[in-house]
Amino acid sequence: MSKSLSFTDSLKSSLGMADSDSVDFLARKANHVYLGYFAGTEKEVRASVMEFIQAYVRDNELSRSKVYYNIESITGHPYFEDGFVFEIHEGGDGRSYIELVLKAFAEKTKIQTIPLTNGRSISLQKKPGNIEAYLNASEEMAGDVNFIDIQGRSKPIKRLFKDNYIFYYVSLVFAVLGAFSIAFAMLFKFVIYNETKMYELTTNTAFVTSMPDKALSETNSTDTDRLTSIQFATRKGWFMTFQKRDFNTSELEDYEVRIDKDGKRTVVKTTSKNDEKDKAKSKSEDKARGKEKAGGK
Amino acid sequence: MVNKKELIKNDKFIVGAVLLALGVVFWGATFLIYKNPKLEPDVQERRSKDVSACSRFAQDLGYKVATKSRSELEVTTLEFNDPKFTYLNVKQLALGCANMEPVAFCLGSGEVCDIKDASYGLKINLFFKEPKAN
Repeated sequence: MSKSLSFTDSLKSSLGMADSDSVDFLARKANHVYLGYFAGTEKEVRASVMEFIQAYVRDNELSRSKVYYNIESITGHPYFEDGFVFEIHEGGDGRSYIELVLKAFAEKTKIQTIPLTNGRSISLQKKPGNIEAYLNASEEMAGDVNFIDIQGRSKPIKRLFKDNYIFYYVSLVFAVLGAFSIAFAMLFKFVIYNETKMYELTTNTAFVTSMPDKALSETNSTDTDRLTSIQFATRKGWFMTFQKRDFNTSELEDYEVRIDKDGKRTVVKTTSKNDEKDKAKSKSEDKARGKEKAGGK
Repeated sequence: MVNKKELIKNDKFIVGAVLLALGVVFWGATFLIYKNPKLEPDVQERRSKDVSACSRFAQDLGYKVATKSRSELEVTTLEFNDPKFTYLNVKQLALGCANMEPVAFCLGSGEVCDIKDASYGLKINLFFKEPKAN
């Protein structure tokens, strides 16, 4: 009976590894790798490294969701002064190359080559105070070089842009459930329940009870005050209008008597007929002056 | 050059926010529907019925009726002698016209009450007021 192989076993056999070898991750070549060095261990230098990484990713239009980065501080390296070494990957398995590269550069090795996808590679050359990187577009261009063993890496590095889909999926579920809920609610309202509201009957009892019958019936004109109307307006309530005549000057004056809910009366002066005449006269004079001015021009 | 796929992928926060807002709108609308499940009645139909019923009732009481607008009636009369009877008649009109609110009342000289071709008269303006529905 043949023994069924697990995923790890099949992976090991495809990579040509022995059964005793442990496999923690699937090593994959990156689309792009960049490695650099900044001298100095101050915080400002680290901030500069971070700025450089972001600018590099932006300028080279790397795929944001596939970008990994790592910054390592180095001290006591036989070749490089104390400072920061950093790496930027696009794609790949997200495992650091720095440890292997620095280990090789600590010895006599001058150039290290990292294999990339599609037969490309990147060669890193150590120089005083710098690491120079050259992209080899094909295997022929790389020449006879020793590639870094990509299986020999273990340290995972961070993504530059974190992909957090929790908010997106929660919102999606929330919106989809909301759409279902409104659909069911409308089905309930317009099909299942389908009942129309009934109007209440409103009568004008407030208006009727507010009518001051007695006060209105008992009020009459006198020799000097002529009752001209009994009125109701929504804002004012009930009121009576009078016209008062002054026998000495024969002036006419309008006034109102407002009646509140308790039957209490308040006199409110409105306008004098003579005032109105004066206003009309002054208006006509103004108009005449205006015409004269216009004619003069 | 902008990679459109990347743009959409990395703008998932914006897409998520839009979906969240949509969800809030949907759930809010659902809440309103369940809170108020009955359909709203036809206000135009109610208004038309109440205005015409009031108009007929006023005419039966001996008033002259003019329709000022779809919602307003102007009721006038030039015949009144007994004030008590006049007020009783006005009360009857006000109580008989359901959902029609008296907004103005004027009994007196035609000039003050703005009644054409009359030295004295009575004028009432009734306006349709949409009643509560439940």
